[in-house]
Amino acid sequence: MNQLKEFSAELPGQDLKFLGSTPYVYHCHHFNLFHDQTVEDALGEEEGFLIRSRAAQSAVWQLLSDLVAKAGASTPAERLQLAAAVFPWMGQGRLELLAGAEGGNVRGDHLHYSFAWREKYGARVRRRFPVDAFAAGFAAAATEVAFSLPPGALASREQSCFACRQPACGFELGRQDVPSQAEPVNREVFLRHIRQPSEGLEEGRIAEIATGLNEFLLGVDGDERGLVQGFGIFITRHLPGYYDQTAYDTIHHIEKHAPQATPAVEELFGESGHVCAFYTIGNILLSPEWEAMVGTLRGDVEEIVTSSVAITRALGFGHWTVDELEPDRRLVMRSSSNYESPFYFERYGLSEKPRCYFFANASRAIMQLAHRVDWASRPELTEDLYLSLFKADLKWRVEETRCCSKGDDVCEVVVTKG
Amino acid sequence: MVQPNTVTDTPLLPPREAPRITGLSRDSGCARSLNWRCDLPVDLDPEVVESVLVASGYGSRSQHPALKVFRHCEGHELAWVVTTGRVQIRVNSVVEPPAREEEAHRIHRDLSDLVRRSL
Repeated sequence: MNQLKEFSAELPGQDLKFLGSTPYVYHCHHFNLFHDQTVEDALGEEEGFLIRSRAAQSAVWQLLSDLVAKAGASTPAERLQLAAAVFPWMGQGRLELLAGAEGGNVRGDHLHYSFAWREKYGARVRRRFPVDAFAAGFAAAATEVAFSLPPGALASREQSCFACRQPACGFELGRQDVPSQAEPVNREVFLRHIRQPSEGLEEGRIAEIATGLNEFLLGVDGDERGLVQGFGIFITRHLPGYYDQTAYDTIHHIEKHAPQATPAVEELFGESGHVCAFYTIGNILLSPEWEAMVGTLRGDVEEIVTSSVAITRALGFGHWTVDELEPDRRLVMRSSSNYESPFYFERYGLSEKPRCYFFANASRAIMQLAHRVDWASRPELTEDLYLSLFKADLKWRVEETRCCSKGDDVCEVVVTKG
Repeated sequence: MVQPNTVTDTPLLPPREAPRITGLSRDSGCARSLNWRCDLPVDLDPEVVESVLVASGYGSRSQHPALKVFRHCEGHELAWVVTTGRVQIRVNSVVEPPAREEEAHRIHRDLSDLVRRSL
């Protein structure tokens, strides 16, 4: 585990995090479940699982190939051991990797997705289709890397799932030999696509808080179940390559086959930004960790907006800046780096429209949180409060006015009252 | 003639009060009934409290001077803001939701006893 900490590094000034050469970010289970649900809603259970597990397999193959080279892990046993350590470091639970080059079985315990799904929905919804597409892809990629197979050599199916009220999660791997080699979107790619970092409003305060949070996050370890608790919430160190590929593949599929539904699907991927801001940023602001490191919240608009931006930087979302802020009227945010536009540009080329769904809608959500939540009263961030803020009473509009994925020099979003 | 004080006399100094821990209330958190709050006096010696907690099965998980995070071998956690006294009790998420409030009360009672012992 200490070896993984040694492999973890930042890109100075850009607020991006890397494990080896692979970018990672922090997201909580509310975001993760919402993101996966959006893919499933758009494509259906079977196709949604396939898209997600393949995206995971591709991203994890790149990650583990790089790490085994850096760690000098040369035998299958050493490589499987490394993979089995990476999985809980990411807060994904525990995997028992028992498969060989021709396939086999993998067991999962306390897997982040199914464990969190039971926690969030288990009392109300009876699920029949498995949820652990990320773990399925991880298991396949770990086995491929261990036995020096190319990406796509193995297929993985989840045979039993804790979210479906089965006692544990089980996967079956088999040979498929469907090559899926994609160019990695790694540190070198990010260096090509990110822009010179700029300074926005309250830069000193934001940078100082982000530095403190970063130091704290580095010390956060998984528990014996392989789950990571920080700031009182369950968080994952996750791969933006997974989020990006699943989101963009889904949107492209809809653009091609059901173009009339494209705005609705884009809106849903944007809503993941609301979910993240409300649950992850909100719970960090109310956490004992925040109180100890930064202080008790006053709750004014400027404090909440700048604090939220500091948190986004510490979570590895990129160098977001507050360029204009007029309480009750307008917010302009820019990012010289984020985890969406570099991936889009590298994988799909120049876009005709802006593609930073998460950055744009997280910015809108930050304005809503800054104006509509009484932070000084330390509210419970419940689902009912989320629904009242983001379904019934969302008065802010957002437009991504510039985006690096369509060739602009910076990504910029403008949030206005409407 | 002035009689010497005996053990039955009224003490010259008032008795030292046991540190008071506030009652339990719900705290912010992402999942149902997992996070609870109480407050400790702000004048406690963090090192003494830490040693008592460690002797009772807690492991220290934080190096931050203003924040102490302890994880119990049973799986629950305490996050204590030393400067303000706030404590967040984090119930182990394997505890089924209907049983979490009772579990939080049990942890709170144990914590009260431990803090009294830290004097």
